[in-house]
Amino acid sequence: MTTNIATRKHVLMTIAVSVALAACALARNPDPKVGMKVFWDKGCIHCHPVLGEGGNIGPDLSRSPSTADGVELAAAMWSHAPQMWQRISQESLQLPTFQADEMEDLFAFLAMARSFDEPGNAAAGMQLFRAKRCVECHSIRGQGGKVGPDLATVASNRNPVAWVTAMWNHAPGMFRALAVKGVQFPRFERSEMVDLESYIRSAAGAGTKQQIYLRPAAAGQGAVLFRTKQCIRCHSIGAAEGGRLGPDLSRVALPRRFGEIAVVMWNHAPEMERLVAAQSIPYPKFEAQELADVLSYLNSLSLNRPGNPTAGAATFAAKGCTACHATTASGKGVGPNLTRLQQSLTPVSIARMMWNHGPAMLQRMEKSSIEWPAFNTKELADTLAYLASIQARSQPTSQLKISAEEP
Amino acid sequence: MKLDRRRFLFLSGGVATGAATGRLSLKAIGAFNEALAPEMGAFPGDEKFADSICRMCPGGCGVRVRTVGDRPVKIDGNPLYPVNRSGVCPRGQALLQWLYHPDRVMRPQIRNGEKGWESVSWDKALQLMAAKLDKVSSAKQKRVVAVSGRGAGLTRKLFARFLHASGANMLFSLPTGMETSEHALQLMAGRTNGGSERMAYDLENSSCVLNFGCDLLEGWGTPAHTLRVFGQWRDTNRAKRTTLIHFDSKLSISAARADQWVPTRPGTLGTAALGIAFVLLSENLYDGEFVDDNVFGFNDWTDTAGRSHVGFRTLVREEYRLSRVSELTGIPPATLVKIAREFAAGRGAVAIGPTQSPGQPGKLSDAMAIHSLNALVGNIGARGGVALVPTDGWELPADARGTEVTLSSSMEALETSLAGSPEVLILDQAESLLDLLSAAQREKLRQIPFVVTITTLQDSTTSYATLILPDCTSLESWVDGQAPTAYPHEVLSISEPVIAPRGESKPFGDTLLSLAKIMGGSITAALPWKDLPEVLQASSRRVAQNKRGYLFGTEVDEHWQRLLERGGWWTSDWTSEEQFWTGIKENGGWWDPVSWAAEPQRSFPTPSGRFELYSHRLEEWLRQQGKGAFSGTVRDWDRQVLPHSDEVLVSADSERFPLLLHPSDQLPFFGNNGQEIAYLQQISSLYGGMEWQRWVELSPEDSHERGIESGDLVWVESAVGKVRRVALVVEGSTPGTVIAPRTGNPTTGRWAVHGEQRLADILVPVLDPVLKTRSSMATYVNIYKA
Repeated sequence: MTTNIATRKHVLMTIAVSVALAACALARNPDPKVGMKVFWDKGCIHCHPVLGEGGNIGPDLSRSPSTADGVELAAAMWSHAPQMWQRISQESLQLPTFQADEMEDLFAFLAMARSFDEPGNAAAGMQLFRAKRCVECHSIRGQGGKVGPDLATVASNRNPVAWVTAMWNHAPGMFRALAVKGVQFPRFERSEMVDLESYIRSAAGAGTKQQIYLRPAAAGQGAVLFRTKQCIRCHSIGAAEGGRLGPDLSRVALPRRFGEIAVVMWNHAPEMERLVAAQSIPYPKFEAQELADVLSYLNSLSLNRPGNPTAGAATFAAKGCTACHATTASGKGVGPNLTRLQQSLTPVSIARMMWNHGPAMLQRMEKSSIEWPAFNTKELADTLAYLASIQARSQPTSQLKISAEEP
Repeated sequence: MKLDRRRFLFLSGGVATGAATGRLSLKAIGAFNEALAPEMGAFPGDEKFADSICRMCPGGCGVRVRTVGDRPVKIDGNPLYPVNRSGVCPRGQALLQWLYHPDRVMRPQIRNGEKGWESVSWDKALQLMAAKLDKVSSAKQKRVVAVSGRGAGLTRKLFARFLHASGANMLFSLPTGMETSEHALQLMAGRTNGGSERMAYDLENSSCVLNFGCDLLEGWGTPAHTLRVFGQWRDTNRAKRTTLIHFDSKLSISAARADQWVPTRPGTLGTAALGIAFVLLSENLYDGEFVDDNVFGFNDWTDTAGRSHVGFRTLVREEYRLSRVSELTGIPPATLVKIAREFAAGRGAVAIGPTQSPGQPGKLSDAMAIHSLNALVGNIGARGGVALVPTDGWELPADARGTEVTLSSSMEALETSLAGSPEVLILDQAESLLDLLSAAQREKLRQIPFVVTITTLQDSTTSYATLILPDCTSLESWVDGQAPTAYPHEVLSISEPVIAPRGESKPFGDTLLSLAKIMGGSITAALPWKDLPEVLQASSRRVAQNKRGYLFGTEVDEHWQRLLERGGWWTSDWTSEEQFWTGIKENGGWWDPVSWAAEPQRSFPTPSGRFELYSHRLEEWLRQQGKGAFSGTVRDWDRQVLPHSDEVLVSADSERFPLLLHPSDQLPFFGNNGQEIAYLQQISSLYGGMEWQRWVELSPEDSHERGIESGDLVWVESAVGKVRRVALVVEGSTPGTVIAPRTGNPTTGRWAVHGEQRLADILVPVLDPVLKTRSSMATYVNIYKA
């Protein structure tokens, strides 16, 4: 019996991986810019702001802690959908529907917006500059310490990643200088690095002409750099590959914003320097664009939120979904048979299906006095995993293999 | 073809049926199109759309021109142009009236004694002008005076370079009205880049605007942009509605549309600002962090010689108590307190003014008082605030050696030059100059031996001219544009001609290049380019090297770009200079939507490194002006340097002249020109029936006292003269204050109204004691029946 269960789990895992690979192979690259246009054209912006720009009826989708990743966003959409439809009706707005590509692009846009740092708080940055004792080594326009460079020379950097790159690259020298002065290594929290950068920029009086930007980061390129810069020798990415000196970066819950991920990286610089020195691994230095790509790669890893199909089955039943939806190939129900869905179930696709068909579903449920089921993030992730498993079980293995082999 | 409902249904039904059955005839389509667009019947040819730049005022909005048979028939705003985004003001609508004006100057003309005007060839006209300039240049007496009413841009730069190469020493540009405020900010916040910054407001993001006398809805900044921002302030979808509080003595449209109009005695705008400052200080509502760390002159201080100086805080608290301010301004103390609290309630509050109109640039002391409010709430360079931003416009290409003459907008300096018996006067689109000169000064223009006017129309400058060189409208030539007055972002725009020049008219830029070739030597070397497109393409190379900014795009593109840049990201719209040139022509321009700093300014290029309420540069300037021998106390000296309120009106015999006359600006004549365009005259009156007339508005009390009724002809008399106007009694206007439009009817051309006196002839300008600029903000007058 134990063997059977293990075998069954192995088969299910193989199928799941095959489905995922097939989906990856066939997937298009969502375009966040198109997603932003969708956000405008469909009228989402009428109610929801993004980074402070837009309507004030709903929450800011780039700031609300309940919409930090795709699953959270889909769960929030699902759970609040009836209220949203009601408000749309009250505001006499047209209820939009979404094509699959549109919802993918929309999610990509929101994911991108959530990864962008907010403008820093220069006043808070000034406090930090003093409290962290940066001022003892660094000057700004000649005011301050003379050990390190005058920070006005780098004030033209507009991207926090560029700042962290400059700090990261000179960290070993900085450790020595700190030791000589008996100053503790400055660690930061959350958006403090962005605040610090904001202060330095304003204090340096960087003119509007002097602005250096980075190009939007590429996770794919970051994956390559993660290996060529030898990060992989210490950090693993899942069980498949990588060293064990540092944490498995696919399991670390990193912050969403680039500046905040960079803070995590900065904070472990002293420990990392010690460890890499012990292993005779050269201290890795980056161009700013390279580091941005690596951080984008790490960000993409932390967006994965695997669900538990067994818990998902329990949730599915507990929410009353089985009252309408069949989960076996021969089963029947008022709603669609979920083993026969023609598309893979992802946070994006479930959000789209729910949004497009939800109003009719809600009407039926109200007629039958069934309450609209709310899902929290974990419940939705588990439910998706469960539905993917029954979907995979119901499809012929040969078809899946063929799909997986497609380029 | 007239299209009534029945015919429309018949045609559309016929077209639909034809399309459905596949028997749609070209004739049916033609009839349908002709019905919808009558021009298509009148002018054979296709309907097309082309983008251009409006040059009806220096703002330079983007327009979309509909042409039928290559003939422009309709003007709309260009949705890609970031300044106006589809919006177009009434002046922009009149662009076609300008293009097709029956009094267009079609070919060069020379005054031939009693015979009058005589048409000459371009060759002859340019040879004549070259010879005259050559002669004056050889004498090395700098006796060429040049005035340009053209907005900033490449053509004006070409003109400035040409003048330098041909021996002149200055180009007078007509004032925009922002000069005094800009000067005040430069004195207080410091200047970099050799002082080439311009003042800009981030009004789109302002949460509360204290407007000291600027007539925002009658042509301030760039009208289409200002109107757009005004609409945004009232957009109910925004998280917070922007509050607009308007200080002024007259009930203008801007005052009426503000959240609060605060009637303020004429000449006391600076005092009102200091009254607000008093409340901010007394109630500790100011931004202490910004002031403590970044402002100089706030507290009492001691200089290096050991002299004690009074600080801004002490001066305001002792000399601008609410009771005194209220007495001077007429504003109740409670009103000042309420406004000050609202102003300090949140981030993004800004104070603008004083007045900022070309004829009323305001006084330096008032401007500094208003900027002191901006410093007190810490919004210098902040979101929603005010800042000095680089004036990066199109640059002349670096492939030619040469420099440009100094640009000046000082009327005093111009008057001095005109008094120096110049040999040559060049008036480039300078019609508005004549409304800024007195009758005696205008008469002196006639004594200048050689006056060249560059104009598209027979306007008031042509009556002074010896030689007229016909210019083109912006629809007939390559046009370049840049960020307009007070606009917060960098903009570089470009458009190709929509149609060929009418007659033999020629863009002034090309005229200058032709002239430079004729004159040879160093002048040719300074302006070696073949034509304007060559200058623009060469100039675009420098912009292409910028690793920031974007080609013009849609509003969604703009939001995308802002989103990227605020996070420190940027995607390039071009990969080579050639691609940039092609792209900028197709999209209409390049801009940087995030050129406004994300952080409040915390570093200032002033001697103290701080924002200076006590301006060291002003102190130095005053000493250079001979005020170093000032005999008063240190406190008296400090009072001159710190933001303060001066007496601003020239006093008059209050029994003879009991009323205060305010000249008002009108949107149709923004920039003091366009009088020759009939459409603008027709829409210039807010009150039906006053078109083509010039009126004076009185309160019912003042009119009753004088036995005057609406429609009566009256004399408006000041200490320097009198003009005749039609009386208009306006309910709700302030007793003691009368208002008259600054701009009059055309004095030349087929719609000329002869014998009408200019309002300028009775205005008594106030001279700023520091800048020497003139401001015709209010003049004591009397009014009586003619």
